[in-house]
Amino acid sequence: MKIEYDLLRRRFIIFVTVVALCLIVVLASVFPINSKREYNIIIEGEIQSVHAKMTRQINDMALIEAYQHDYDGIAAQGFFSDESRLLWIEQLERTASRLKLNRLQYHIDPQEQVQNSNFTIPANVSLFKSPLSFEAGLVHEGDLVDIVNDLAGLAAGLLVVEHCKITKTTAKLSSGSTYNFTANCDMSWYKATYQEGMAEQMSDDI
Amino acid sequence: MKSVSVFYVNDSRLTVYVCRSGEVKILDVFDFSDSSAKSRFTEYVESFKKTKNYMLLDVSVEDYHQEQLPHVKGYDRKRLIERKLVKYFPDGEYCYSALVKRLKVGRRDDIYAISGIADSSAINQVVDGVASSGIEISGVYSLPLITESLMSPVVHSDQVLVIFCEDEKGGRYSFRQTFVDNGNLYFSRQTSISSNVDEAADQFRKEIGRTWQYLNNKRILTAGDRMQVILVTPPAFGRLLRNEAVASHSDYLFVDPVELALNHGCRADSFAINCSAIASFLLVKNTPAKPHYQPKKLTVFHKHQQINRFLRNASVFVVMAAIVFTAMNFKAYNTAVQKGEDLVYRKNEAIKALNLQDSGFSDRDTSPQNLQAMVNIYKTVESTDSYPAFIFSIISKSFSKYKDLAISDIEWRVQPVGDGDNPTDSIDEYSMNPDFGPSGDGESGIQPSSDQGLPNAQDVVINIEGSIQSFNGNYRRAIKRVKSISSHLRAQKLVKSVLVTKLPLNVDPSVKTSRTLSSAVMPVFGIRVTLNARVLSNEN
Repeated sequence: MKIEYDLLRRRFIIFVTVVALCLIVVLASVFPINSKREYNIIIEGEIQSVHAKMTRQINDMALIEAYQHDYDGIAAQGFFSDESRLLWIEQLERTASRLKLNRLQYHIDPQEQVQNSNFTIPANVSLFKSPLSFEAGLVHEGDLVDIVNDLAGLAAGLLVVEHCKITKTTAKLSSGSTYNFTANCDMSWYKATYQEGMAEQMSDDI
Repeated sequence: MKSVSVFYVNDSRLTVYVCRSGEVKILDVFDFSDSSAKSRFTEYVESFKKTKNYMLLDVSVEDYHQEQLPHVKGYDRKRLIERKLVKYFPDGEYCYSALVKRLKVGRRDDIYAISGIADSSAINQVVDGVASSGIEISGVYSLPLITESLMSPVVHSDQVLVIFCEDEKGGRYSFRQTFVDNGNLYFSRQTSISSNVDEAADQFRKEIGRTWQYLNNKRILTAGDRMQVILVTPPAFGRLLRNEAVASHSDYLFVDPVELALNHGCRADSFAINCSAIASFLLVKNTPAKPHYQPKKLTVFHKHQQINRFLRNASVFVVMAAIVFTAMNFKAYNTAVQKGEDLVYRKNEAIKALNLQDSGFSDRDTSPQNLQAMVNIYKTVESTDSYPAFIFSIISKSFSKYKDLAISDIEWRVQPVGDGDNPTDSIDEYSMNPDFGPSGDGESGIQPSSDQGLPNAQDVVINIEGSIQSFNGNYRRAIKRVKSISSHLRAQKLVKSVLVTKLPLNVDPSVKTSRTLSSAVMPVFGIRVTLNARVLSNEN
């Protein structure tokens, strides 16, 4: 059958117009929805971000509650302060004077960062130690206790006795005084620093 | 029910019937000889454009044939029938074919009924007028071809001659004879007789007799049976025949047109119903699926109107779909807006809560992670107490009961678990001596440390050396005392292992032993104590 477009033209134009208009109307009604939904997704992301931040804060609060007291105590011990070599020397001399320890020799090595130690050190913590050795002639073994306790009582870091040897011996010094024990000790003063930036970076990476 | 118009066309006039819910009415009659017919028809054109229209032909120029064709299928059959139709009706506009039956003998050919109008000039004026007026005709049908359906309410024999007679016009009765054989039209022809009372019955009998003769000659009629003649006539014509003799070999069956119409569910109040009215009603009621004839002008216009209707319906569907989609989208948009408002509220609430919570953090110099890391590293470093006071307290706790054992040398060292002087690494030269039994630390020397899994665990290893006071030469007793202090030390919960490194007298079978009895030697001993790192950590 031959198509006679004259008989169809009017209806065809109406049909095409209707389809076009309906398409425009439908598409026009779709775009605001998509826009609104994308906006909602952004808001949801922001809410999740805030919730994550709140969770982190709650965790942080738990950490603070768990560690603040200890931290304050550690800070009071000078674990985070700069090295106080002068304080140590002064204390050694004060103790030697009090105990009348004429034969006291000490040796303090340069401070060094603990890299490959027996401890597992977190990446964001730098641990430093200052080795201190001394040799002393003691009247009584309690003198050694006093020396170490006096040093440990300083708010100048964490003192760790790594090695100590006390030998019973009787000798008389040229000064006339005598001592009954000889003590050799190797100790280290530890202090640490924390790198906030690295922690935040690690947190972001996670 | 919407009204449907039927354009009934015979040789002399166009009658328009309007059928609606069990009712048929004559809208108007347009005689071809009437000069005003065209103008009157024009008045109805607009109304015809709003209704569905059929055309029913009842013309004398319609021919009928039966053809025996080879039994073929598909495209071959279509071509075969087309050739036959073209042969009878060259213009091809008014032709129709239907399969009657298939022979059961010989080649088993098909018998086709072919009908058509070879010369359509008589009806072209109507078709042209309708087409030029833009009136859509949904189908063109032939009255003889629906005769069987028309007579369906009447109980009749398989072979029946149906007489449709019109009202008297011009002193003559015009009637159509249609012979139906087993439901299939065999032939149909129109004729007329005088309405004169003296001549009508005789002429009618002769016409029926001629028809019987024709059919009998064609051997169509069943031998021995009388031909049944059904007469659907105006009452006046029926009265003329009732008291007259019937044609030979024929039986008459008079059918009242009104009763026939009622049997078809048709009522006609405003005019005397006739066969054409009933046929028009029946056509509307049971429209055959396929039109009998398809004149080009009407068919092309009808097809285009169908396309137009499709486009209209499609447009309506598209609009409806667009409305539905738009409504759904608006609903979805509203939902999204409400959700967005809810989300914004939740976000603001969360930010408020965060700010409230954050105020406790704002002035902090040290982060909680810093706290944790620093405290942990501090505790790790200081986990092992190796201060002299602590070491001395452990030693003195045991040695206070052994006044005869004098300590001359104490050395302790912090070392990681498994590093350096592990008791199992040293050879306890005395532990193997049966004279003294276990060295006092045999089992502890080979015990696996429970601190292996403790990270950063550090042992404190204490080496103690001393001598036996008031020694009277009894080595066995001296050794026992050393073993005893060893056991005492091991009993402390802070002690992980104890190893005797030196006895007053070396009695190991694997070493060479020599001594001068006269020489006074101070018997010495050596003990290595390893403190339990885990317990130390817990103590701290």
